[in-house]
Amino acid sequence: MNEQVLPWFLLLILLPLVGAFICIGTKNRTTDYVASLFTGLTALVGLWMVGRWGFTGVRIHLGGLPQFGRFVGKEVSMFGFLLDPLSAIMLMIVVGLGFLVTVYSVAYISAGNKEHPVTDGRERYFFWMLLFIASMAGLVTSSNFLQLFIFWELTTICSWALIGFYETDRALWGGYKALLMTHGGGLALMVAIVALYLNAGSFDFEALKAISPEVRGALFALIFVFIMVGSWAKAAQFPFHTWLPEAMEAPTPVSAYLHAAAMVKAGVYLAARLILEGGALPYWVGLLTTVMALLTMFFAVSAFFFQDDLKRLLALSTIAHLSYILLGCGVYIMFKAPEAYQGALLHIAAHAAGKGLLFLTVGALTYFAGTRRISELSGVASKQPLIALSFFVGVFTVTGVPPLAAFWSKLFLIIGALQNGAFGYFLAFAMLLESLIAFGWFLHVGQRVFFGTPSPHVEAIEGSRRSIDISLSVLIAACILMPLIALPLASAALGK
Amino acid sequence: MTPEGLMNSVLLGMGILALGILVTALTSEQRALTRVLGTVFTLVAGIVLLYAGVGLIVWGATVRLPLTEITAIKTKLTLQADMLSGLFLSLIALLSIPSALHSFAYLEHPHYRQESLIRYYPMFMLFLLAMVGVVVAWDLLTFLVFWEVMTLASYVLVAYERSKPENLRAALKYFILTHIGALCLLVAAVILWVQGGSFEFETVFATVEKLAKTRPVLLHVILSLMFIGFATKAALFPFGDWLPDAHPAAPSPISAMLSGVMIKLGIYGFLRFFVWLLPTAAFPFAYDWSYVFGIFGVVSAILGGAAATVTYDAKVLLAYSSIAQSGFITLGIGAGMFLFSQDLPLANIAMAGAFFHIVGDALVKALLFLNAGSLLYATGSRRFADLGGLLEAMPQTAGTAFVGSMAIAGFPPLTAFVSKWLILQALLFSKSIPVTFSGVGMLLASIFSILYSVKFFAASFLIKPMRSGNLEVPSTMRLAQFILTLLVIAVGLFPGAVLRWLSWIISDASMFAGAEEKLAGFWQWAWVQPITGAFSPLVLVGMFFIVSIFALIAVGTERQPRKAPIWLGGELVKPEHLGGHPQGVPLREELLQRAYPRAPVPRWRPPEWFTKLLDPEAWMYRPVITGGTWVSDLLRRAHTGVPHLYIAWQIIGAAIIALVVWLMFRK
Amino acid sequence: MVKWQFALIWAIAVPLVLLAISPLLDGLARKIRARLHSRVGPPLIQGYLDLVKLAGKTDVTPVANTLTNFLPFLALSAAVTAGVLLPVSDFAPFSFAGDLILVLYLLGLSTVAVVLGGAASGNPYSFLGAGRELQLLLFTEPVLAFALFVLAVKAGTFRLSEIVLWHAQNGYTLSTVLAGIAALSALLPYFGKLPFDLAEAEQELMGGILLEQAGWRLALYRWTFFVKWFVVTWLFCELFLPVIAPFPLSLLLLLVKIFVIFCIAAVFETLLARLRLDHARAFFIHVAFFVLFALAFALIGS
Repeated sequence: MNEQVLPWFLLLILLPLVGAFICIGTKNRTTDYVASLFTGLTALVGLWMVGRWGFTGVRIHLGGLPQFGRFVGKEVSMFGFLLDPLSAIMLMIVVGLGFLVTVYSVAYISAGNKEHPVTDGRERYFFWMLLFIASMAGLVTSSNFLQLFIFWELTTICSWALIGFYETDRALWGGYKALLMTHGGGLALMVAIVALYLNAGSFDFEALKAISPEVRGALFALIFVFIMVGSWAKAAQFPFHTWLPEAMEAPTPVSAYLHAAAMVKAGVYLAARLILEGGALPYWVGLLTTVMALLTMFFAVSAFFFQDDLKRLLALSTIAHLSYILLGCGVYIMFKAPEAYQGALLHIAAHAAGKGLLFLTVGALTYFAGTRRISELSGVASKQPLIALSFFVGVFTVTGVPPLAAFWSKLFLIIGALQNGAFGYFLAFAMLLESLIAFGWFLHVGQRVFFGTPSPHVEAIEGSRRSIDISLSVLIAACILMPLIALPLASAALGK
Repeated sequence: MTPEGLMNSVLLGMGILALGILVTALTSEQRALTRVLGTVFTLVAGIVLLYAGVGLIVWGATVRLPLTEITAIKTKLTLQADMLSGLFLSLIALLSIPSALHSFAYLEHPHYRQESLIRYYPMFMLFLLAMVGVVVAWDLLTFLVFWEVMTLASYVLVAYERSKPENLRAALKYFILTHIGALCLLVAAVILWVQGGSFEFETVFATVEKLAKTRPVLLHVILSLMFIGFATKAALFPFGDWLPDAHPAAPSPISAMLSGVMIKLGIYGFLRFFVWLLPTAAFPFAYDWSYVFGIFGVVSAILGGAAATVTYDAKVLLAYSSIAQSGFITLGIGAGMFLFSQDLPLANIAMAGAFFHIVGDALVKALLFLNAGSLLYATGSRRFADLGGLLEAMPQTAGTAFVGSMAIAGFPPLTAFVSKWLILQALLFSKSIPVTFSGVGMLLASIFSILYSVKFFAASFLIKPMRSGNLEVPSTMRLAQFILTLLVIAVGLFPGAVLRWLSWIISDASMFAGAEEKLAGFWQWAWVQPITGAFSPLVLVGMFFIVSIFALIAVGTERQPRKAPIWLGGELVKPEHLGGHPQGVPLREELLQRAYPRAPVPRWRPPEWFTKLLDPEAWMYRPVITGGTWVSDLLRRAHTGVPHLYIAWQIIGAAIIALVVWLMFRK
Repeated sequence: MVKWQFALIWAIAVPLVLLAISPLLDGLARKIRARLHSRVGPPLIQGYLDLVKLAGKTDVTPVANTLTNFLPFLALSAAVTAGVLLPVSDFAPFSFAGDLILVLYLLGLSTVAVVLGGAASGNPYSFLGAGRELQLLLFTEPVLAFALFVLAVKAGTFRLSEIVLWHAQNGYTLSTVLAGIAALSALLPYFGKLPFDLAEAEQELMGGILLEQAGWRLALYRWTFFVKWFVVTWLFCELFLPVIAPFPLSLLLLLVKIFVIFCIAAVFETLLARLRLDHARAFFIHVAFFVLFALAFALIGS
């Protein structure tokens, strides 16, 4: 059985990789087709794998480097592949959204873009984008920390390159800052991995359970905190959250993919994996996670009201939603409520769909209208009804209006929280308050931007792009249908 | 057809609506076609659902349909319809038909012609679908999902005419306030899940019974959350502050549905979760909560009525009136819950009155909103200052409005009289001081009802010199109004028949089991005769006839009237004489206005330090970076500056290393 | 069968009697006022003469349509029907069809019909008169209703004949006396006579809501007022001054009581000046508190 699976894993990573390199050598329309083709194939492969093995799980060990084995005296497994329900959720998002974003970029990264017309350098964009897809696919299918770290750093580089794509001063600075902060987190992760290896003798995820009991105290604290630092830095949690708003200098499909749906989700994936494989984690671990998540939520939501830039607003909302996921993880650690963990996993998927949709909508706005300042936009709905529909579906999805996706994840999270006494009530209250504030504010912004009489920027909108319409429509459908697939996966993750 | 076929009818109705959503969404570019299709789909679905609803009541059936199961939260999603569901199902269906008929021509008004129909008909049918879902849901999750979809669809409808900023503000306020209510319901539902293990109603009922004995405080918390959630939807004071803004914003047929049915779904929530849910074993809770219901009911009735009397806008008046009528209904339910232990017949009378008011008010409110819509269609304005003198220009609409206004005022032989009379009996003879005084309050509110209904009719159709010409609305709109008028008159003339059916429904609640037998003697077809009074509308109408005949004989048959200009002391009436009094009919403003001040939305500027706090870069990273840069600069200068300093560093450094090594290997 | 026959006879007879007797009240009031003014005054049958005259005059009006043709009949019917429901001592063959609340609402319906009829003309004076009449309704209805509620609460029923029976058998108590005083003060405004006639203030509003009415319409509206005076006085007399006696005697006693009370009202009308709206409002708020106290007393048993 294992032998049958390996080719699929390899295909999953190699397809976008090869596609990336081919893209470098092509021009214009060819690049578009090549990129779409390769990402499409990757999506098909990934989704098929999720359907076939996602529920049952499959794990392959591929051995390690012989030199390293000789050096330490025993064979250490350094490479391997894994596909269990948790990975499956992430994989589904990575390849699915990757394909949609690529199709979208075909239209967005072009001369027709009113805000940032691009005539050359497109091949560079698609190279990095496909490379990123490959890295993310590798990251979520890794079966040990070392391989995960390798792909982790690869995504950091891709992110740097993509954020700075427009090569303006602000874009370069945004990319640099992102690189610094996420790489710093990566270094912390590396220390944790080394410490883990030194104590448990293996890089595998299960090694977490094997840390010898007498040092489980201090060493474990070190390992855990450093892994969480890596996770927090990647997922833009307090106090490492300042890079995300500035990363909004990236082209919007990049923001949608990297900074809403994929790269930052790698951070929470790491945390979720930690919980899944870490065995019985002590109470203070959960408390730390929960408190940091609450702090982050507070910071993110408070800054909502001062934003004029739509993308920054969405960035802050992303930060808040990632803290939701970590909050669910924290509650699960503290109180062992399975619904909280399931809610967190479900939210990974639901938020990806909703936030991805929102970012792509804002991108479409900037493509057609040339601006993303709230103060300059109004009355868009009369000119572009599909964009208006996507925005509102996105807002309702993300703020938890049934029957759209995030309602179910929030339901699970609240069920998990409310089982646990006064602190749980406080957490549920905080979550609902954030939902309500976000709901009210986004609805207000949405009405301001989309309804009313068209502003001058909006008057000048003309035409439409098929790729943009297609990606938006698919995501709207995903927002409604996502729970049907993600909920069984989330339940399966805990072995139910 | 058998009772078992009723659930199929409900599903069929929902299916027709779903199909209608799809079809009208696809054809929305062609306005005429969409309007026809939308109306047809709604009519067909309405008839099917009406059959289902009435069938449920008449056959006394309870039909069930399990849906899927979500094992992760151990809940089987289920639909179940009983007699209570049947009542509300009938109301939804009954009101959707005139609404659809009215919309047909209403949407061709210049106001609405530039708005796309895709946001109307599909959303309207989604709204109906969601409302049907709410009354047939039999587990909290399905209930909540349909509840929020209902809010979502009605939000889109309220914001239909979205070019005006005040409509958008109203829609935003509506959605946010009702969303808060829904979140309260969500929390209550989850707490019940945590305590009981499942969302299904049977489990919930059992959990409530358990909590009543073991954790009464928690049960009160749950009930409070549910109360807030449902009171927001039922537009009680102060939760219903969204209603006076949302109604002028929404198109009139939608207002008719909002006030006629959707608000009653808040009442449905009260009935299902307070009266049907709390079993006889948990009686003390019902008793405590009856006070809450009573207080909020009386306050809403009085303040809503007072506010309606001084408004400038026809639809705002009707909105406040809805708040007041919800207050009456809630008061009746509260009286029923209160009297349940002392005096069961009176409690049943109170509940019967409340139910009758639900039915009557739904019909009358829908009628009046459609009339307001016709006024808007004909004159382009809702404000009383612009209306007036329309009696001869719109005679048929005026006739239906007359019946509607008299009905809302509570005059016999129309509907509201019976319901107010029944509730008043229960309140006044309750032998409890606070309850009797709430009866006093109810009478005061009823007098406000008379005032504002007269104001509505007079200010719209009378008061100013009659306008000439024909401003009458298209025939479909008139037909819709006419249907409702007939229903209002029929229900008013034969209250006994309706009350008999309502008694069956009331006796379905465990608290009131057996009500049907006790109440059976009270209602006949032609008159109602509960314990402490009697009334027969047909006899009343008969008396009116007799006296009119005598009067006619006395004054003789009229000769032709001689038309003369209005006498104003020698002058002819000019428009400036009437001044377009903003209220239509001048009613005392200062005292009443203070009773219901509209709270302004607060604006808040955060303090400086708060804004700084939100930026960790400023207070965390930058100091660290600056400090680090300063240190490294120091070191740099130490290495590339004055040679003497450099040598000094070297000597000091060597000394330190020597010291450390000596300390380490000292042993 | 006997009950039905009684009810039928009552249903025909009482309207006839009411329509026949009530114009006498108008003549009575005007005669009393004239005498107090040291004038001779019109004859007692002046009310009849007015009605006959008006019925024969041309109907000069700015507005004539179905509604304005219907409203005078509605007003008169409502007032008369209210009377049909009232008991004479404890004899009320029509009590199966109505009770206290219905009587109050019918009287209100009558007032509202008159107001609407007046408002239909489009005359600014009528507009003002309509507003004032409605405000007066807001002040007077509750007071009268609350006073009657006191009786109802003590008697435990809304049925008028049973209230009369109870009151006659149990005699006066503190609460019923207080309520009676309050009801008495609510009578004058109900009549629409001075000092509460601001809705038809002749000097200010030229007659207000009745300004544009003429001919048979005015006849019917005037008749409505006469009937209303009679009915409200009847209500007050039977409920607050009850006497149990066999039928013909009780009818006679009723007529005597109505005569006395109405004369007192007419004297007040002549002696007092018109109250402004805010004065009237203040007056009624005080009376309302008064009657609420009475209600409280009733509830605690006295």
